[in-house]
Amino acid sequence: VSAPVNEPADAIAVAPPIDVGAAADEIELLDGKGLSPDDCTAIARSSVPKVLFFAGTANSGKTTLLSTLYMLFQRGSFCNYNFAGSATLIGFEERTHLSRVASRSVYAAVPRTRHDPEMLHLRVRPIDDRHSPTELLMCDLPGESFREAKDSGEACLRLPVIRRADHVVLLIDGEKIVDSTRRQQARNDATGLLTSLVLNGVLPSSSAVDIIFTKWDMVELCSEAQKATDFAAFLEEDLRRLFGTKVCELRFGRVAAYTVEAKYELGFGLKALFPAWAAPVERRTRPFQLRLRARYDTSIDQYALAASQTVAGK
Amino acid sequence: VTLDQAKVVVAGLPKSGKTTFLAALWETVSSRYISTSLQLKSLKGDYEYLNAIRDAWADCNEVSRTPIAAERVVTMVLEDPQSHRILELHLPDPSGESFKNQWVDRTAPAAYKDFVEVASGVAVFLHPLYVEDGTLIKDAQAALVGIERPVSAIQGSDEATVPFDLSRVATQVILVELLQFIAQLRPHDNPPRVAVIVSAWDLVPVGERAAPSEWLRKNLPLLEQYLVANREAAPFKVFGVSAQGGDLKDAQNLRTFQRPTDRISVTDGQTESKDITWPVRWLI
Repeated sequence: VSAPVNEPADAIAVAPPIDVGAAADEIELLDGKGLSPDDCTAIARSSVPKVLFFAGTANSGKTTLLSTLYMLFQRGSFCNYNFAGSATLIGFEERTHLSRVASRSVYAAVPRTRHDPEMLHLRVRPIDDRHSPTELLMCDLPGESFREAKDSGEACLRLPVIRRADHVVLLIDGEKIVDSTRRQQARNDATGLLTSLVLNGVLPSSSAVDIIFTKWDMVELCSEAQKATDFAAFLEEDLRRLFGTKVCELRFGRVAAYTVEAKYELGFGLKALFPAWAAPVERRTRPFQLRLRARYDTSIDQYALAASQTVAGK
Repeated sequence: VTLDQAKVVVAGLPKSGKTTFLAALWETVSSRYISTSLQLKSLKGDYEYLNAIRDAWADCNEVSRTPIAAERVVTMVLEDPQSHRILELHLPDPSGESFKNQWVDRTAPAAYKDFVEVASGVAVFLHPLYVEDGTLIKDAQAALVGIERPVSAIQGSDEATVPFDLSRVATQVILVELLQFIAQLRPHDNPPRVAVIVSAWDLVPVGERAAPSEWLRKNLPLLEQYLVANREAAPFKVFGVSAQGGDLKDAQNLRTFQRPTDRISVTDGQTESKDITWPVRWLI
């Protein structure tokens, strides 16, 4: 951009200042909260973004796990990935608040998953820059929806986003594994949901399934730790027997995402899981309509559309 | 005859050193003590304000913070003595409160969008003593191991739990969001280059003062990762800037400098300079 020079070289001209705060009209910026999968507006293709679907009973640690991922990036790169952005920073901050000293909370805690599922967004990029960023959309399924999907085929078919999931992450509450009166309930919760997903044909054939024992610190530090860990091993074997050939990939993990026990680092167990979640999707399976609210047009939508055009041009 | 236009977005939370930087910049371009710095050719706009903040800065008095009502864009016609390029620099002096409001209210003035759309670069300011880090309870407890202090002293009590407050979120999160807003407001996904200016660099502990980029990585890792991950689209550079030259508690000593620009120090970790126009030159 150029403008004419009117003044002699050494002149000082005077003009009124531009008041950047004086404009009457304001523009809306991204609201930063969790995304609803129900009221979206644009089309994304399967390679972008990558969808992680987290399912588990109430209080099994879904929100803790998601917020811990975010907290890990607040400390530095994680698993050789850098944080590259997020459209849901406020959504993450709301979920991590009770884990922070500023909350003056007695115990580190997280708010319960809301009744309506929300998606959190993270953009990550390998440190070596060899790949483009991966857009991760992480769906936090409320415990109530989990129970309904386990018990009802109709409810299972209504699960949001799962047909588009690249990874279905099933959480088994370690606190139940510790308690001999609830262990079988934990087993039935996991097998029940997977059975419902598989037999109702809801689980995409390309989806990897990760089964995570959460609150692993409670399992290892309880008075009957051997019995609890033995049961976890048994349950793992049982789930492999039942579903090992029914899903395209079955992995297991043991996680203590956020515990004040000093023995466990923040995000204990996540290093083994995250690289597969963040890895770019190599093969496209089917187009998927991901509708985003209009106010996200400038972030994920634009990215998704641009990526779609790039893919289409190849 | 035409001349280039250069607009630089100045962003930062309250008390991050934006106005002090502007005062020192005005002194530098107008005093011409530093032969390699951008030099003032002419000025557009009301420079009474610039003179006022420059005077306060030069005499080592507190440079007053900018209230939202007093936000303005100053325009200087400058010459690069090396390339002889002449350009018209538009540099806002925004209130830190307006950026905090962007984060909290999720709105920005339309005029800000107009400015951001055509800006050459963004100068992001942060003050090392005013970084909210969002400490985790887990870390606070670990830090207190071995210290006889009731856990409740760091955790408070159930009754005292404070509701989530957007304005108390970690500084690095807010700065990332401000940069995301800027990228959002730009057409064609074309984010501008970014100069991160760590102000009051002289107040950073000596052991951490080797390289501003390393300081950023250690103290605001989320922001550093964001910049690194997006550097192909938006190149960035981190500067440690001591515009005042020292703590104002030591003002008597600072006043012994005959040329106020001699108090200035700018470093990228490899080169040290007294030229505070360096970050601006890098941005335009």
